[in-house]
Amino acid sequence: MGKVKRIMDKVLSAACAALLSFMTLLATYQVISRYVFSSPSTMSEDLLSYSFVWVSLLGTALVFGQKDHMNLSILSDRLVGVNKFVLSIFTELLIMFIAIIVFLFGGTQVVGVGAIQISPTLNISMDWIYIVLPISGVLIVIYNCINIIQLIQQFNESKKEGIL
Amino acid sequence: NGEISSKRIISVATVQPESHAIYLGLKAFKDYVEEEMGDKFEIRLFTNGVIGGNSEALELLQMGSLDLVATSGSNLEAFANEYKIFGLPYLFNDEASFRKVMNDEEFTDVIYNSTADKGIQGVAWFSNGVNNFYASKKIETPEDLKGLKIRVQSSEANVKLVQGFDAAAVVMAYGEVYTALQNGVIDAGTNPEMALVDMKHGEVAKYYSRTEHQIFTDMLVANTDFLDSLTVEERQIFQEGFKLSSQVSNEAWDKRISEVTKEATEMGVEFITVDKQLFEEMQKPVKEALLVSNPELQALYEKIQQIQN
Amino acid sequence: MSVAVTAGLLIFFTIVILLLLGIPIGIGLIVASILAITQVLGFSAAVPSSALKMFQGINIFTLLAIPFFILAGNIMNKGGIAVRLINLATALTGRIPGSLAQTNVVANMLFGSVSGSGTAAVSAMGSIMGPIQKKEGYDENFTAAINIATAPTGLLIPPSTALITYALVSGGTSVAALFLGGIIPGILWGISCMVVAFFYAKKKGYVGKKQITLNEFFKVALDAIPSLLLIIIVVFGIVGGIFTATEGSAIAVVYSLLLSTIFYKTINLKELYVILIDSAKLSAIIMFLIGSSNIMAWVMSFTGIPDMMANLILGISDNPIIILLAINILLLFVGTFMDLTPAILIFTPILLPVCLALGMTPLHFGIMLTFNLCIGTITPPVGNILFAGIKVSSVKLEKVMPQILKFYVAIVVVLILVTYFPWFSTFLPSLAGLS
Ligand code: NA
Ligand code: NA
Repeated sequence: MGKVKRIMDKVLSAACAALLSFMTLLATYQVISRYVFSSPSTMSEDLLSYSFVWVSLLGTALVFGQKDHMNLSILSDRLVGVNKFVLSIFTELLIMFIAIIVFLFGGTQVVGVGAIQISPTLNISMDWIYIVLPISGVLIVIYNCINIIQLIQQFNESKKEGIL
Repeated sequence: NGEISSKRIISVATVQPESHAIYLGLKAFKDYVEEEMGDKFEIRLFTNGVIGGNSEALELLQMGSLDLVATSGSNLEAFANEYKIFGLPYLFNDEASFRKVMNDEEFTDVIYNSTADKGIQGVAWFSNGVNNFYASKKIETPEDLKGLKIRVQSSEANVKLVQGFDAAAVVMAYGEVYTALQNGVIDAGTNPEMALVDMKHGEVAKYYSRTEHQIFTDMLVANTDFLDSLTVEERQIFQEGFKLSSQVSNEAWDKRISEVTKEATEMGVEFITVDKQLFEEMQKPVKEALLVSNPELQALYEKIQQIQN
Repeated sequence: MSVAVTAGLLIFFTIVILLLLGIPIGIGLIVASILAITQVLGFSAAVPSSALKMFQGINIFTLLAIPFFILAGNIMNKGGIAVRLINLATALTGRIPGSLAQTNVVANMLFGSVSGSGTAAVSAMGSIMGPIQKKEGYDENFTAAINIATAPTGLLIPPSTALITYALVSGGTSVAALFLGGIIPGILWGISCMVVAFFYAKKKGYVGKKQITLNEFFKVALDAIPSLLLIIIVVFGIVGGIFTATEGSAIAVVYSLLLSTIFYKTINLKELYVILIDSAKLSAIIMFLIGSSNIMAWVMSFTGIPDMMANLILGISDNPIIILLAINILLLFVGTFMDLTPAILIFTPILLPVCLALGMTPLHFGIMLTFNLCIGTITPPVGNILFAGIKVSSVKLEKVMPQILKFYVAIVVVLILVTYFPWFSTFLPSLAGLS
């Protein structure tokens, strides 16, 4: 499990770093094209926005894998043993629920709507842009599964060692 | 007032504020339908884009979250090529010709039905005024446009139009235009007179030149499933309501244009009459090139010429 | 019970419970929104609409300034650009209690004002100033709190997209007048927080110890010139119309990158890769929250919650002073659950007529509304600036909140002044003949 997660982390991190570099270059190019070539690029603004959504949603999945999203930890910091275990599993399941219904199911339907729409500036079908929603949904669900398995393993180990 | 009841709620969205002609049109539609069938339907109007921006609202319409959306025709270009026709420079002789064409049902049926296979059905149109150039310097001849950075909404036709005047097109969101005009990121904008007052562009661009290079239309579109779910009698009443919204909105628009022109003059904006022929002449190759690259528009183009001339 | 009341209660209690359980805030907002929207929409329409709202909440060009300024801030930090700037600032202000915190406030007012994004300001300043203040022995929760508390000032000090949005929805209030009107309230917000920081720092003994010689000062200043150039290029580029604020944020990345890789040679390729990943992750955390709150804003307006709340509040009295107080409390409450722009779009048409009837001008009302809703950007559970500031400083919400409380008090005092004394909003515009 740990290995799958490490590979996913590596690939997603590389994708995010690449997208962010690409965005920086594109935004700089947008300024230069306006002054040096005096012909503005009409597609760069949309391409930038869409890359931004991609990096944000892929990054969102990556951060769910690392359990690093913003939360309030007043309660979870105080819990130990079985209670802490149950709360952690509940958290993962609730995230998985949202990832499945909103990102995966909802996102797939958004892709369907996008398929019959042509981006006026990029001249491609919008489903290629919206597809990041179900992709990140799948990624989040995989991370949830890995996290749950690891939580169970840790819980069993600490039980064996008699800590509980 | 929001009580759960058996009434069917019809959700209508527009990006315009409640002072806008389109809102007044939609309000007339609401009042009419609720007076006729208030026991069965409640119409909810969402203004100011609180439900979503233009293209987003159309997607919500397709998903069934919204039943009706008032939007600019250019946002429908993503769903049907027919809407690209309105981007052609100097397509209509003038605004009167534009309205004559839009009142021809044979023409509007083609437009209304063009998006039907995508789940979007056109039901009414709203006058959206004439696009002119405005800047902090006087634009009297096409030469005055040379080298200016002009803000346009992102579309091929708009960019080609500006380049046809040997100017540079800058694609930018409407909300950023004020600051961009103020600090010189752009030199000029192109919009109907409303922008001077509603968006206060008149504070930073003092010359409004009536080049009349484009006439766009706004549209009221419906979710096809919603229309199909109506009985014949209900559909008839809604149809009357759609027609009424168009009439009321267009009258309010004309009234508003004259008010806005007065207000802008008080703001210190000078309105400049130009020799339109000079500008139109320069755009001929642009118009022809766009028709060549979008051959499916040719038939519509001829139809328009036939109606207006 | 009406739909709006049911939906409102569902949202409120779901969020409170899920937050206390420690569920990620964005997930809590989405769960609450979906529960509420199914009151009026079928599941099959609600689910794809929510997904679309998540996407479109992020798909906003001006938000690009956030990842870019986070990236620039990280590069400036690792590349030694930031430390040179701070050395200069300390050399100038070192003897004032809490001088680093005061520098942070001034930087937020300038930076937020130019970038037009409080979230970008809080991210950039947090990543630059945070580590340095920590090194000087400042409590990290205090450091994060003052950074967060003053980041929204840039939303009031022009240029401000929030005020442009208000100008549009209010039916054409002069943008120029609003821009001028926002200056005094924005600066007062900053100053009131500086006063609080002054006394806190004095109590804690955060005072620069050594006095530096003129010679040392020149050395520090000379050393800071290439770093200062970054600020000059970005600020003058934006103000001078060479590029937009969003583009300026990318230029800041390129300049700081060139400076640290070629000139200072402080960052190698491997470090750059790590910086890129960290910046992408941080902005993803912020963007997921922005996307989630966009879902919630949609659900709130679609279920009619704003109208319901306004009717509730406006019915309580006909005394103008009480009504204004009630409106402010309503807006503060709204601000806790709703982001700035949707709140302006929704509440302007509802409240403006009421306030005009009380004799307010659209200009005064606009400044009061925006000021009030800006406070909402730094209150949980929906507060983009608050969360960005917390994440960038790697502190905990529950540890920072007690520190922010004293700043809330100072800011609310200014809000009361802005509400009841039109002068603060109208003086500069009337000086320019605009009101
Ligand atoms: Na600002
Ligand atoms: Na808040």
